[in-house]
Amino acid sequence: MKESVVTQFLIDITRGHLKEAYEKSSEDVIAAASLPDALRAAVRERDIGALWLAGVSPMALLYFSRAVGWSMERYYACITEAELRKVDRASSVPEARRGLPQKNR
Amino acid sequence: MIAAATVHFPYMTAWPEQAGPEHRDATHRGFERIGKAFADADVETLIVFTSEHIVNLQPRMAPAFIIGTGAVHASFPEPQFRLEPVARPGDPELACALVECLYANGLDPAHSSELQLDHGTTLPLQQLKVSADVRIVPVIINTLFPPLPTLRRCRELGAAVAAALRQNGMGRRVGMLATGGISHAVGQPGMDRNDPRFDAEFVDALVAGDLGKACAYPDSALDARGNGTHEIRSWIAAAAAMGSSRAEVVTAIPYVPGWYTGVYQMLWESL
Repeated sequence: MKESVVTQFLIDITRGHLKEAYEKSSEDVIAAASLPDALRAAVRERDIGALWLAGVSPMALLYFSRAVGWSMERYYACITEAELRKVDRASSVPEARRGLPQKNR
Repeated sequence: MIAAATVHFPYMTAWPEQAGPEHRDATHRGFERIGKAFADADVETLIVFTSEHIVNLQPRMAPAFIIGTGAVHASFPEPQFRLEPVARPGDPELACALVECLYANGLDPAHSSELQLDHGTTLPLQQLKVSADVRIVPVIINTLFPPLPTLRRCRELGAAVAAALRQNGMGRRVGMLATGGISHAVGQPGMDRNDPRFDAEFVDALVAGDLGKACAYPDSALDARGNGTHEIRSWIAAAAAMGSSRAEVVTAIPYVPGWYTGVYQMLWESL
């Protein structure tokens, strides 16, 4: 599951074995990571909304947002906005095709 | 045997002043009451059913249950929550006996000699003023990375731990503590509210000893009330361990403005 891979990467750079290296050179660490291209770009651009929509663990995402200097208010505003976009998108899909919200636990 | 359950949200230590004095005092009285009950029972080893916040558990290794067998449990530094980084003594002998007993009885928890305790465990221990010489055996339940252990399996875990203690408690005076929940969200929209109706219904089920009802929630129902709600697994384990013991609600505050959640605490004492 690609969201697990990104979740693990965010944990590694915020509180794991890549923390120091990421602080020293985030670009090198991101470039070397085994991430899908779209999610690599989202991490590089600190696109919390895109990472949220990809189903990354909320707690790992919160730690990442703190590590890059975001306030709690900014973080919650961003994911709330992303969630609204998701709901908007889902409402244009027939009800029978909507899945259960297994992500974003 | 004695057991208790309590919430562990860090607002109460990080920003106590955000709650009104009546809620703050009621919460402190609850901790005092449970702490005294543990002290009066002269508890030597405290088994803590707990959840955590990405300290030991990660997607690359997320067992359903981990029992801490270390001689010492370091604490994960969380100065932002005004928690003292106190290392707690473990009880390797009892913890290993517990693991062996669970294996013999059909449950297979992971075990680790190097767990770090975060606020899920350190906050209640600090607030309860658990003496520094009380040995701690953490039982971490994966409430973070799905698939999660089922509520039914957590019930079985609690019952199996109690059976193991009856079989080989090594003569210790053992207490149990469950920490976490009840409904709340962390890192998700809705972190400023809980679901008081759900919380009351869940606590009522535990008080009534109706674990069938407490374990009947599908994960989707817990998801809908916030990811932190999965921490009810700890409460279920403690309730199952205490079986038909007398259960009492120590604190029940449906919602605390400023702390953005409810405060619930329970105590079980053997008849």
